[in-house]
Amino acid sequence: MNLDRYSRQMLFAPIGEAGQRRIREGRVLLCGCGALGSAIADGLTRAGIGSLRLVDRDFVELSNLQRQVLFDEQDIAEQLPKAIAAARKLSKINSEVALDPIVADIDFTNILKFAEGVDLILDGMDNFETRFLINDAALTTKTPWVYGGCVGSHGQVLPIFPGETACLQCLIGDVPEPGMTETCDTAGVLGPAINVVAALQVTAALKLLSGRRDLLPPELTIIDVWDGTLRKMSVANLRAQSNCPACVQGRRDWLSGTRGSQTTVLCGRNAVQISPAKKQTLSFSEMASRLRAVGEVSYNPFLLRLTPTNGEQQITLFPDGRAIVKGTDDLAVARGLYARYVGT
Amino acid sequence: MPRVSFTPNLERHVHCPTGEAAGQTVRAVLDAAFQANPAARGYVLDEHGELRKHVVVFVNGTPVRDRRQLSDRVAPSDEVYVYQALSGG
Ligand SMILES: [Zn+2]
Repeated sequence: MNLDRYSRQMLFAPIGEAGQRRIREGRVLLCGCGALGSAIADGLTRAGIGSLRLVDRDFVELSNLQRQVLFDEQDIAEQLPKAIAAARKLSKINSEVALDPIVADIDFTNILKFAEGVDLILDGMDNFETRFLINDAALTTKTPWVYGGCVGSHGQVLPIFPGETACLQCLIGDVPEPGMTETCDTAGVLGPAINVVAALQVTAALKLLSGRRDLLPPELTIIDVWDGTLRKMSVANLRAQSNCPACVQGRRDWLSGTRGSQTTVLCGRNAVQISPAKKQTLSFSEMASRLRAVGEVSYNPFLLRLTPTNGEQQITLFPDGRAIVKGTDDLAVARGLYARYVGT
Repeated sequence: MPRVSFTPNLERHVHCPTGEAAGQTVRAVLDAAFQANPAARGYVLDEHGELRKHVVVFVNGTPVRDRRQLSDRVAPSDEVYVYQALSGG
């Protein structure tokens, strides 16, 4: 194996040639190839991992280009799915890496297949539901994974070693109720924040794949590029005190399909209905003030209607969290819009 | 007095800058902080006054044990950090 192209990485003593040889053997599943995902994929591919399976449900859009570093205007002209566009670019960057792009909506029926035979899972997702699913799949297959999240100028990273360190559900007991957290589509997101989070995730991957797992303490890293801050929070005791349903009690609510949005195509209406598994009580005035930035909003006591400025769909939201997305019969598109604007 | 910081997205969304808040337990410190920033309360605590599931309070970088009564002790020199998970990416 000729490792010349990795000379600068091997000169870095904690990796060295032995570490680089191990990295070349590393097999990674990357869930999501949006902003975080494309920065992660870029980092891993340049670093010379062995194989990268990348799964994403979306197409490249113009508003992606501000931060999604693997894509360009040509990808939009060609209407390429992100996984495909990413793999094309990555294969030009490093043809030694075995790429396996998959255009799919990750759900409880397919995630174990995607996670088969990998050493590590990296999170490039944009919603909590899929992250809980990744968490369940990682616990079941005992595969380490690295959570990364980003909104505005702010980001977070947590490496998770199933059965040993706190899992995502130890940290976050449940997905937030709709409207309780901001998403990149309501609060925006800065490219530099994405890049810092992705860099921390890639660094964690390089430590793990090069055989230096001992350098990954159970810590949640919280960064903000606008404030210029980086904090580390210990989660060493979290698993012991959480009585976690997933990693302590052994439940797999997301992987078994008991939890997760119920999505149905509404026949003949070019619409999809999304019913969150847990009923909510939404505050329409709160939601409306946040959503006015992204489109036209109107509401009465019974429903809230959002017509995003940049799309052809219309979202009608009911107080219990149920939504009807009009203008599509594609489940993945509807779930994506729900995750973006309602925020789970 | 203990220092209280909120996760940056919450800090910007409901305008609750880092500040000092008097109290000897997490509950007391948060109550004092919410007095200055009432809008933040609903994002951190649920209708029973317990921490929301996606929120973690750290005291000096370690998660609090009592998420319901918020009885963990806080010393005057401590830093209380209110963390909220992020969905974006
Ligand atoms: Zn757990």
